[in-house]
Amino acid sequence: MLTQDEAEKLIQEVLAAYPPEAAEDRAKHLAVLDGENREGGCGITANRKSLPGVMTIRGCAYAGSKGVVWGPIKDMIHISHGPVGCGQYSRAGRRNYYVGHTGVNAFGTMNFTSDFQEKDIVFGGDKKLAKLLDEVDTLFPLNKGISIQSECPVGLIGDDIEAVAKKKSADLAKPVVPVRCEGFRGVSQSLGHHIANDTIRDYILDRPNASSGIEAGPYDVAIIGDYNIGGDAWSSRILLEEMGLQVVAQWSGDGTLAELERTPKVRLNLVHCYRSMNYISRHMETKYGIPWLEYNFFGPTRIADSLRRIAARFDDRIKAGAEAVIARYQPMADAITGRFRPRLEGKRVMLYVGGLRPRHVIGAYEDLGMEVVGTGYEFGHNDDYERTQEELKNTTLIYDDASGYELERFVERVRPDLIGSGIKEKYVFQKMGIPFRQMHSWDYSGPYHGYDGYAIFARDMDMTINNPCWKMMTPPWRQPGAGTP
Amino acid sequence: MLRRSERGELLCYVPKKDLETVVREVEFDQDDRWGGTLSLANGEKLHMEPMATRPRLPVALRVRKL
Repeated sequence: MLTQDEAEKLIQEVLAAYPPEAAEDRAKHLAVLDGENREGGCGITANRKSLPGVMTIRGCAYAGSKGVVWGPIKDMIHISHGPVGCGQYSRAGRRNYYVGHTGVNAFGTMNFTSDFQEKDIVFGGDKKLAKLLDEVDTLFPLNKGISIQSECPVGLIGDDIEAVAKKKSADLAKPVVPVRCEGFRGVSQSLGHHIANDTIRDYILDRPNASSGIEAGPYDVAIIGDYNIGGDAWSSRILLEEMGLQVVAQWSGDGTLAELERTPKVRLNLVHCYRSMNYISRHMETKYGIPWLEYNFFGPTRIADSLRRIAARFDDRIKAGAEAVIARYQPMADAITGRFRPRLEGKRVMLYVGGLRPRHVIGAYEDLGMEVVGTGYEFGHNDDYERTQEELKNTTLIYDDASGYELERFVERVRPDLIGSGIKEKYVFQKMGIPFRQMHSWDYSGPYHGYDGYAIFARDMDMTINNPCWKMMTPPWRQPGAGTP
Repeated sequence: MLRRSERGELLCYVPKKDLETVVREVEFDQDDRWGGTLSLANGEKLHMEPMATRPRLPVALRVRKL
């Protein structure tokens, strides 16, 4: 365990490798959180442009819009408008599960692209886009709508995709949504989430008669910001339904266009990923008067707490339902904790993820007796860090938009028992001899939400940390001749 | 945008800065006069013309940084 002083010294040590200007900038993104230092978002500057020349782990606005917010809506076709690579290399990477017949009435794992060539860059791609929209609607007539996800060149050459979308939307009698999420916009994928939220607002919720004729039921709720990674939204949804609520929309994992359109008629929006969907929640609160509530379905402590907070917004029937759900699943959760806690007690975890996970999973680790010694967001904003410090109890390293170099140095010194981050970090740390879980895609496992997810989460963490393979390899610093770092 | 938090505090969200923070003090906090200078928890102050009534939250407002 690092003390406050050691942690601060470590940060200084890491910063020493940078040129003075860069060090000054990076210093604002690194902090140590102790018992007292609790005011104002951990004292971190967040959501700033990454330094040129520093290996950042961030994504782009296209990743935020196509990959996160729009992509999982299964009955719409999402066209990656521009060169073929952006869509192809990110295809199905987030494992947003859905039910449906792919290629018939669901299109989640397919890649549609306008495959820009030199001639499209020189002469503009609008004609090609119009042709593509017609073709796609002929080949896949059961699609409910089409979104056009711009890649960088579309913005650079100044194509007017809005005009094409407007014309084709009238021709096809379906919503065609132009999304200006060119990758170069903003500092990270976070702006892509925002742009995507805004286009849902403008082109879906504001469509005339989108949700007319629907009466809100007394217990109608929507799950906002759950992307159904490995089935997360499903294991959350059953808990809400068991307590008596009616989940009428999932945004956007396993979601449909009809569900989006129906959401302005719910009683309460339940927000899981605050970072990517707070914009639309705020909009619906202002425009339709729908309150929203952040919840956390990782680990039994947080689940029970969230279920009670959700139930507090409804009548006694739902409150009794929540207690019944907790009573039903608590023995199962206790059995899991009883089985895995002795194997995981006291293990230390470092996290570096995006969105909601750097703070939401802390509760689940604590349920297993593990402690989080470092956490950080790729693309969090100040409000995320404020929410994070409420979750943290011990001295914790906080890093915003950490570079590959910083992470490696932190890990070398802190030597956690487990690291949770993404695929780009995975093999670096495994080669350093430290157990690793991908916390973006649950390392091809999941779901991790809900009580059912907790069982899988606990098993996966145990499987990773106590894997015998770690005893069979010698990390570089233990090899003969290596100096002590 | 102003809204009430779950704990009943007045929360202010500034979209341009993506800042969400507690409003510590509202200069005029009466039923017939509401607004003026808003003092935020992070030390910043925002100014809005006082309104003739107490607004129904959530409400989106145009404010000036002092």
